[in-house]
Amino acid sequence: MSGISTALLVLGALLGAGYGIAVGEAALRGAGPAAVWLPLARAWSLLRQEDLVPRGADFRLFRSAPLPALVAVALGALVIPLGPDWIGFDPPIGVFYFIVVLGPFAVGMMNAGWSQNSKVGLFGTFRAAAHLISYEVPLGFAIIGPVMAAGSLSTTRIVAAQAGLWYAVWQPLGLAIYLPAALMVSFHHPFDIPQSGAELAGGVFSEYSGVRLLLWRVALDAMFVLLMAMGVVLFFGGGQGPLLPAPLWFLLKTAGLSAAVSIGTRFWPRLRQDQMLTLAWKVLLPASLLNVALVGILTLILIGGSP
Amino acid sequence: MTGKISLAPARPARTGTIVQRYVVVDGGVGAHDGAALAGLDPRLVPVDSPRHATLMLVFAPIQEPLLPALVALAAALPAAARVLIVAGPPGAAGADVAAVLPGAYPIAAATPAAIWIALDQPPAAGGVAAPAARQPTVETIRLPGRGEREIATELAVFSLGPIQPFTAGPLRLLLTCDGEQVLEARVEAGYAARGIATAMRGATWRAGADWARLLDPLAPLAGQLAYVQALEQLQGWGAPEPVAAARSAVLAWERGTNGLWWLARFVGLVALARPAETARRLAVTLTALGSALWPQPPTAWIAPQVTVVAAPALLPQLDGLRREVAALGRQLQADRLLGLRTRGIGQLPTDHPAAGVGGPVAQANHAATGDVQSRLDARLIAVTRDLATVEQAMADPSSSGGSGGVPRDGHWTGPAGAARSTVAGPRGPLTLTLRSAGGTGPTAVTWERPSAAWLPLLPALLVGRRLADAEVIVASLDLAMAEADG
Repeated sequence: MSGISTALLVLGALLGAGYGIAVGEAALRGAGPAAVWLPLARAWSLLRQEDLVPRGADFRLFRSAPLPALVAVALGALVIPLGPDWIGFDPPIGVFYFIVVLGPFAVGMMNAGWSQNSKVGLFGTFRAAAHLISYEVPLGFAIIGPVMAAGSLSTTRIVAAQAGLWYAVWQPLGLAIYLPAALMVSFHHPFDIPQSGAELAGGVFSEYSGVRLLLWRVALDAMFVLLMAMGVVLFFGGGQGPLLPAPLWFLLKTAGLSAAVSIGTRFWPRLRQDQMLTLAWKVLLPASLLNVALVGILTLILIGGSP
Repeated sequence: MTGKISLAPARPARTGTIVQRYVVVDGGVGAHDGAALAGLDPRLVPVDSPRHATLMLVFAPIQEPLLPALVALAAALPAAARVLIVAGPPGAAGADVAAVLPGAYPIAAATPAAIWIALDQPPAAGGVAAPAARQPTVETIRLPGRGEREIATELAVFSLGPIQPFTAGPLRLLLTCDGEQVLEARVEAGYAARGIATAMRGATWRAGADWARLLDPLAPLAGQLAYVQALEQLQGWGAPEPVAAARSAVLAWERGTNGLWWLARFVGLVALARPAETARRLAVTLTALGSALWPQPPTAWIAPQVTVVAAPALLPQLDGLRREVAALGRQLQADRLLGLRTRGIGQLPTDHPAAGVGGPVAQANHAATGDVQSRLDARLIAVTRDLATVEQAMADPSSSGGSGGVPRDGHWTGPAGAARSTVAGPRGPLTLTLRSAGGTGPTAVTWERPSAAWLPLLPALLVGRRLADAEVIVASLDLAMAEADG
């Protein structure tokens, strides 16, 4: 199988997992059997809706804003290994590449808010920009832990290094830092204030409708699933597991982690922008530095410094 | 919302079988029904922006001052979006919404069934994409120049409302912000004004009760009871203990339902999904229990010199409900995550006397720090206490008033004199002063409204706070704008 077709397969699998999560969320809201078709019905209703551009908007930027976000998701999915040979692109700097390609996602969000010629969009843009700066550092440091333990930036080698023991077991602090940072990257609840909040009437997406709003919804959900998939790679041994094929294990773990995070965040209120910044800079960043030190010491003790 | 340019027109088709994303326009009566609808049908999804909506639900009556905002909101909807007008309570008068939104379709109630049936009807000719031209009043707020401020940041004025989700009914806040910080706040009310007191002056004693119920459509019994008690004072009649107890119980039930609906809306506003669902379920249950607790509707027997009918058959459900509310209260009081959005904000400055305010909010000011969290705590305690009051009244046979069957009509006459009556409504003490010359109706009517007392205090609550906190602070006050505007 060629790299491109494998990458498309991985992307399709992740989107499928995203659909499964949407079904689960609808079921949690009491939709019953209708939960199966509800996400598709929502997409269908958006496809049928009028596609509006606000007067005075930066026409090209407004229309093209979802594309960088979708491209970021697609490029990020390239380095997710569903199994030993199930990866679109396996560079030796896989996780570094992954962090780099996440950047355009927030840029797309900022373009969306900036281009719509409204104050609420502009404020949403500022909030999204603050997100971008805040999550990058703790996310990077959280990822350093598995990289140090595996002695590689390659996603397949990180997975292979967890054959004996998942990193989630002896790097729980790293996982605890990674998950909120991942929620910030994907603008997921409770860090969704750039796109939500009654005071901004939808924030950066307040002027979007129809197919472009659908593209944004797909991009947001896909980014969330992508980050949960990377979480499985970094902390839960990727596709490793008994009996079942590796891709199935991988999808099950991704869906399980996504569901656990989605359910857990239902008990969180939407955090203010300054609270998100406080969490990122005053809690996650020092904790991630501590995590790097701890992982370094444990790596020396457990595996003598050579993975 | 700015103007719009269409790229791809919507395809007209049957809409009844697909998901509908809706925005709500609440003229002052729809807060509870709107909150209930959010959890009734997963195919009906509330959204923040009209651009995302395929459906606009207008809870009538809408008063004339709100029409420009209503039309502007309708104009922001994508084409082929539908507008449904939910009928208001009997006797409630308002502007002709159908005249400014020609394609709007009337429905009797905001239930999923009624909505889906209405959506299967073809839209009326005209559509909502071309509403009658009405320009909202544009007010200019002068911002200080860069040279006038020590640090020359760029300020922005945010207009929140008048159609917004954090009050029950329309209210507009004009917030001058430096980044996320509110520097100045201006309040615009009056969008739900109906002139209830003026209407009561020209009405008969009997019709006055109907008007009193409309003062706060979310708490009609409080208004009616205040009026009836004032009338009984004029008549020189004091309610015997069982009657007073039953009235107290029904008032406690109304306070409890209002408290739970407020809780559902408030925790929904801070996006706390699970507790919002629980609060909504409890509110729906208590509202439904009301019609079973009293076989005759309380509006029929809260009348001058009429005794009551009570049905103590539903104690187990009521007791279970009270326990569930208490458990939810304990959970929310101990929720440190919720505290991130509620603690340390919304206190009145110490040099700012809260004249005329009362109810749970004032209790929070007296007993605790007076922040949003203490208001939440105070309201949860009040709801639990109110449910216990109802339970106690139901358990005590003497509170039945000794009269069964259909209650007789009241003594609707007003001897000359003056009377002043206060009842404990959901939002605080509601006071009515009546004057009579012995004619067919009152000659002077004055309401002292608890929500109205908070409006002048809002700028002091909001200045210096963050933009994201503004909606939480205002929502914590549980303002009913129909009552505030009178």
